[in-house]
Amino acid sequence: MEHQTILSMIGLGSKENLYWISILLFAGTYAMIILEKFFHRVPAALLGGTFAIFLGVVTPEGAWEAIDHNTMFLLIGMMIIVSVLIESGFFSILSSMALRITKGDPFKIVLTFTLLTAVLSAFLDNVTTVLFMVPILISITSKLKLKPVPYVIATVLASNIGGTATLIGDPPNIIIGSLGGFTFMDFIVNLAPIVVVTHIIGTIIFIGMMKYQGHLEVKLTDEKELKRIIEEQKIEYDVILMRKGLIVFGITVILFFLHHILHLEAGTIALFMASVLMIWAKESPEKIFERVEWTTLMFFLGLFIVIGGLEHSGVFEDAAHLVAGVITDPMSGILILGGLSAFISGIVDNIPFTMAMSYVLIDLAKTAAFDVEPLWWALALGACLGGNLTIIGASANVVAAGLSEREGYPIKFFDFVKQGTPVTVVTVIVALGLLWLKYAIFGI
Amino acid sequence: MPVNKIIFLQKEKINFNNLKVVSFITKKLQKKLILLLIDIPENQKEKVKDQLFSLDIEFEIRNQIEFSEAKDEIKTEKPDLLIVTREKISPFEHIFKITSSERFIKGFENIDIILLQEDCDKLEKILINVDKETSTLYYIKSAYIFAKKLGVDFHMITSFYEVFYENRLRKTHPDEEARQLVAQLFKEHLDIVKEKIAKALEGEKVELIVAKGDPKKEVPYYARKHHYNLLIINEDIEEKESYIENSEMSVGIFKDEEGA
Repeated sequence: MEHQTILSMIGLGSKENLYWISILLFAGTYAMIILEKFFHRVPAALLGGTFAIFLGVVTPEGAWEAIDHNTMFLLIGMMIIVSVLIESGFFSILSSMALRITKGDPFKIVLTFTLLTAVLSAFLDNVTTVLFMVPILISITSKLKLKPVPYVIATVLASNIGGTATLIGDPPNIIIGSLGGFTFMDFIVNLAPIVVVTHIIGTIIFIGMMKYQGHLEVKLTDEKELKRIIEEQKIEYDVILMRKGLIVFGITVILFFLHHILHLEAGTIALFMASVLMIWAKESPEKIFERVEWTTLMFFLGLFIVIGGLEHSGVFEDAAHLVAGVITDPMSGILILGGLSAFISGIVDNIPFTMAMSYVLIDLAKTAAFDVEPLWWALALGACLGGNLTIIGASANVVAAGLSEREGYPIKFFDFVKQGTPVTVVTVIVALGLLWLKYAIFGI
Repeated sequence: MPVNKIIFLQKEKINFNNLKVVSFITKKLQKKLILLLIDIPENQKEKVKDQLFSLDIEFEIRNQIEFSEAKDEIKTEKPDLLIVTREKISPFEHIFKITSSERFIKGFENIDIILLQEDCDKLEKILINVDKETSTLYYIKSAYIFAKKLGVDFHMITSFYEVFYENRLRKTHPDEEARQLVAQLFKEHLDIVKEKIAKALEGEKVELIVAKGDPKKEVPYYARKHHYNLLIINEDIEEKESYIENSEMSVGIFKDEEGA
């Protein structure tokens, strides 16, 4: 039986009409996401998604199929595991240790906290890492009579760089991993070494800038006061819960490494291990779910449906033909796609962009005369590192700015640009350059 | 707490700071001290003797036993108080390691135990946890008498897990109603704890600190934050191991019933 839709009832149900309506819906949703001053991005994405079903651009069954379950399961699973680790006080202990190691030295603080943030971000969602690190950093730097803003910005930059390294580090990577069919190991092999070099170079740049701007000078010289501040970092924690959380987290990461051998998707592993942890930890699910970012999950849900509409209408097929006209070989593609991704991700949300580009690459792979794998990695590097370009470039930046403002240290748009833009430009050039070099030397 | 014998277990080396505290407890409670010394060098044993003689403490040294027999020796001896040095490790290390003293005390029943933090050399502030569900009148009284006899500053504490009830009740009740119910539960919690304390202490006054949060985290946190030297919990408290592992200090685990 023919599926009756509102559009077909009013005579607009032709394939061509659906094609253009799906583009309009996507553009409209994207516009609402960009205009975040007026619309919250989550209802905007959900409205776009449900409107697509409402109009018949995509059937309810098609909408369900359009949702990438692996991405959703991976996000939910990891958010649950991280929620338990936060509840246990693990991150508080890590930061307290970091403060003891740095002994209040501004240079060591920025070095240690950015490294810690980058490493944590590689395995946790950037927003979670920033949510956790920024308040601690503000508290420490203000007590040490240092200006917190440059330190907060440095931490955010490190978070976006570190998150680029793994499949689970940043939402664009989760999307790329799932839609591109890449394993956890693929990310480690292809991105992690580049990210390590990028992080080192990024660190040199932002530390250099902070030194030049006088932000690394010791302001608190009273030894006794310094010792008191370091000792004062008493925190609440639950060692047994931490132990359980870390064991499950460790096994999850091991299983991620093996997921292609086990023929299991990363999302299945994450959700399975999260369920094991909830049973084992005996924590109330309500408390754990409080920390799960439902808004992010809903955002993904809506976007998948909107993008499913585009896919269903054949828009990506045409876009792939268009891209194939511009990118004629993977080597130039690395630079074009990577650069474009970085620029766009720097000014708008990188999640819908990555999702749309992923579908373009899937279709491009069907028609292109070359292997598109390097383009996936260029997309990952551009989308993740580009987030450092402006304060609205990544969710982690926005969250950090909000936290900093709440504590009385607002981050102005140009303060961020001053520190973020040079770091982004250099890190993107270095990262794409290294990726290009890798394929130039070892071949595709 | 009618303490007749106190056993202090030391393995491989004597912690003289801890010995100072043990001597203080023994002296204040006026009881006999049995030192179970395992693999301790002779010169250290002599030093122990000198220290205890000078303090005029009645003591006995037993040093012919193996560590594997120590548990049986203690169980046979049935001391009223067993003191074991607790290795000092950071919370981070603690995630990956359960200390030997924490492992050692498992399996003991009906003995008051103190895990004395390594190098702890004074007992000036004691915090006694009172759990609404499991703390018995006997426990409250014995912990109180112990602290009172030592003549140190001490307080009782109870923690109400407000968020837990709030989360549960908000699912089934409107916000305002849930808040009222939580307030009612809080009052009930306090009433029960205060009544237990009043009954146990038969009119003696003691300061009760009321904390809000997950007790196994909140109580050790409060104790650390306010520089208590010893946190006392009852033997049958739920998630006892969490209280112990979450405390970076000396912990007393006192029995809930009299005698074995």
